[in-house]
Amino acid sequence: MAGILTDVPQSAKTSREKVTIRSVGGWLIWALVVFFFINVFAVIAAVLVQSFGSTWFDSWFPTGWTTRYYGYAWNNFQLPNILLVTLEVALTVTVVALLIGAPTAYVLARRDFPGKRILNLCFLLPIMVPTITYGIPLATLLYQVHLGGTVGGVILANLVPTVPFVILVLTPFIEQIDPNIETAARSCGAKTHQVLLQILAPLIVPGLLASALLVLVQTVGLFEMSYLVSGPGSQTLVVALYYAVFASGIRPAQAISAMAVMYMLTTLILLVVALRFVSPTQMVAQVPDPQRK
Amino acid sequence: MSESFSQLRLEAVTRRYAGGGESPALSELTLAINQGEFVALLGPSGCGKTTALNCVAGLVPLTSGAIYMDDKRVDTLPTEKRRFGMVFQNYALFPHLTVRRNVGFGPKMRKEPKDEIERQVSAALKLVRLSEYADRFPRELSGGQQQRVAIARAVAMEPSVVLMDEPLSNLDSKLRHEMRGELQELHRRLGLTTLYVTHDQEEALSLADRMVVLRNGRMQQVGPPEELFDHPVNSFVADFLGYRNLLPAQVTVVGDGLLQLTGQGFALSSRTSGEFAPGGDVTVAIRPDDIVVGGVGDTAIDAVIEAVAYLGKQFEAEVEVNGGVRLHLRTDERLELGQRVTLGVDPRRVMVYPGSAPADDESPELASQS
Amino acid sequence: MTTTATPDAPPKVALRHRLAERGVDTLLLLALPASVFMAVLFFYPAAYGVYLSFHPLPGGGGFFGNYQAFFTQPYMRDSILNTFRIALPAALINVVFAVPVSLVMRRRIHGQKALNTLLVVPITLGTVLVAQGLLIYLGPRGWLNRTLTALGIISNPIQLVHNNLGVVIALIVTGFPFAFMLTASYLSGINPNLEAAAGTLGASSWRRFTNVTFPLLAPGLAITFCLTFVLAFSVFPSAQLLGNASGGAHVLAIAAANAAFQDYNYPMASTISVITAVIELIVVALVLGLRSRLYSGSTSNAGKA
Repeated sequence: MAGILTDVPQSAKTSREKVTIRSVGGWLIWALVVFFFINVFAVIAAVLVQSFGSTWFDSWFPTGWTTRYYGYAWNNFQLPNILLVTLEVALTVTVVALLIGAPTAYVLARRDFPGKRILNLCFLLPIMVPTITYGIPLATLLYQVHLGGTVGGVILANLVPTVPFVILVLTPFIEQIDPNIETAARSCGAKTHQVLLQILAPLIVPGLLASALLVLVQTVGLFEMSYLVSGPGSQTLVVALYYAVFASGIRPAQAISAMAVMYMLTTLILLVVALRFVSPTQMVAQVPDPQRK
Repeated sequence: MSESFSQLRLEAVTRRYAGGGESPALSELTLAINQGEFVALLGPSGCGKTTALNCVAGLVPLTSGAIYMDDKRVDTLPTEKRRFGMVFQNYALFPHLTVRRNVGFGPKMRKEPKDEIERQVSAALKLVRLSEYADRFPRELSGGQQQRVAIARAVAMEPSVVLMDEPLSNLDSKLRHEMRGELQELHRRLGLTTLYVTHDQEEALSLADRMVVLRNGRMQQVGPPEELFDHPVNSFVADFLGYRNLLPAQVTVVGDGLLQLTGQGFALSSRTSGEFAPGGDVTVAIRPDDIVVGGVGDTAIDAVIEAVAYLGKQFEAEVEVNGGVRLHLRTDERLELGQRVTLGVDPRRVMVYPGSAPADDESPELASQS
Repeated sequence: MTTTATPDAPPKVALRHRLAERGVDTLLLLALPASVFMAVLFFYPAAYGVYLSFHPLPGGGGFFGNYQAFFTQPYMRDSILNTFRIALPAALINVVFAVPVSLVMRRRIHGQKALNTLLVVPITLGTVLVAQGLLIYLGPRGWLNRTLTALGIISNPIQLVHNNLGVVIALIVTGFPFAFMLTASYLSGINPNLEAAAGTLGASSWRRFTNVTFPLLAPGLAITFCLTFVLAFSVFPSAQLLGNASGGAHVLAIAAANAAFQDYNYPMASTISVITAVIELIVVALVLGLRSRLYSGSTSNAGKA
């Protein structure tokens, strides 16, 4: 029991040492984070700089600046058509995914029924499994029914990971709405469809909006499904960019970068809009909340 | 069992939070706690009582001031070197460890030999009567049992001081009463120096040797429970300790150790000493159970019963005095709605404080909390 | 969709009631469209892929012909090893660095929010754009090699793209933010009072981490590792663009895509997909198996309030 009073000066000293060790470690971590971001933004800047360069070879910066490769890319990569397809795919996927995902989310949030866990798992699986593993057989099937290479096929393929995603985002959102509100509406004489449309729907508008934006951002960026299913005339922007990079050498590097910048702008605009309504963490993953158990 | 020291001293302990505005969360708290003493920090939420406890525990650094154990300064020590056992409001039991390993955590951190740890753990568990639950996990225990594990864990490290942060507030009222008794018994048996934070005045009154009332980070009054209960130093403390009737009044006559007061529709006398001059604005504080139906001495206030509630043994009533002031009272007498009554108060039970404002905006919240 | 009463015969009503008792009623039909959709476009194709993998093209052998072909051709077989060589370091680096970074960021509410917003950028940009940028930035005449040469750290440009290293770097750029956000979220679920309690019981900050924080974080880390690993194991565009130009960064996803779109051997492509999925499942099962030996449960422990 004597310990604490006698060794005070000593332990005060060690604690001060520990503070410095800890803060050195802290600074090291900070330095790593900063290093990471410098590189990430250098990567983005490299694309940007190249797209505006007239020639860039073995120097820090291009020898001259020009915007002509944007025009070149616009015409030579058939960007108007590609942008149209991208828009069509992204919007359709978002609307359809919400239409069939939201009712399921409601059932999963409110009802307890035999087989619920299995159903939950069925909707979780397509998100956990990487798209490429089931994408190839899916593409094979879509080609067999002559949907491969069409915009319709691309939409269907993109819906496979997005429908479960909508369900995953919306279910906890509906769960946190007090079920008594619905009971109250029922006790006032509202029928099921009235409860759903007049009471619940307005309450979950923020959740619908959030998931719509998340799906939109995802679909524009989702590469594998569109790549596996699309053909000429049904390529989305990211797929077209991939082909351009893959076949680099055929067209000037600046033009590829110009196209990359246009893709970047599209996603960044969507991202800025989305971040007004959802948290960054939600953009990445619907994290299983450790506090809900 | 505990460390030998004679006094834990807080000297002008101040804690200011970044962005916390003008006033510090805790302002110049000076307090000496003697060995074996049970001191309760009492106040509404946001009064700084938990901040004070965290400062003592070393969980938040002091902005200024110092904490000493006798002559040794402890506020510069990290938490783990202070050896103050702490019981948290939500218990903070380690969910991944069994009860045995939760309780043994302190001795293990001190690198005690295994059999010594085992001895301390079983002694502590026996103390809280949980020996047979040693191999359970916290989630397998009830709230009250978890609470007792938390106490055992704090006691097993043989602390010099035990800090308790609203330890009973997560329990239902029956269990809270039981645990209060157990804490009393524990303190009696171990004689541990205890600093106890609560917003529940009853808890503080029944457990503490001395109580400290805090408000907005400042100490209002310190003293034995009876002293605070019978003679609150200001209208805030009065309000917090159950003086529900806080009425604006004016002093009419001073003399003979007796003050004559008038308010809206009532006249009272009070034995409160202090510097009062005739015509001065004051606040009168009266506990509901100090109001006597039928009048006392020459005090007679006419009133009408506006609301009445039967509490099982007593009646609680809200009455309206002729002048429009409302009073709360408690009595054994049967009261009827609309009944006219005459009320009186013993002058010794009428507290008078200078100033016309009866407490401030916090008072409704306080009334509902106690 | 509404539960309108129908003039059913008594026994049928009883059945309905019994079902309703268990939560089965017509409202469940709301889940039907999505369920049918998933069945047709996810489970059926997945099952079809498995079926296809056991039915090789003519001349491709018997029931197990595709699997035999896969494991006998060194080029194919080695793609498993190569995928591990890329995915394992990437996933490990991402998870291992996510822990200290989220520990440092913890309780810096504003800092973490800003960091999250920044981190979401590389993820949103996606693998293709990151690959394109890395090709320029890490190339022999790119800024990184230039900077390192100018600083005198290297004398000749180092080869950072068109090999496995490039793919790993790409997986870190997109995978680290993901791992960090997951880890940070698991960490924020741990009641800070637990560490404070350990402190009052005499645990130094290191022992607080090893005895309290890490054991509580470990199950979450296992999940984070699984998700990052699975993503890295099916790496496709980055491997195609940043991998060895002569087809050397041969990962399973590329082998599958080549089989499908170059050789039009869909059964073989499906076989490779199945093998990829099985390996991923085995790794996930191993990690989760280890996880089940850890404590898993509430990390907030708010008592029974």
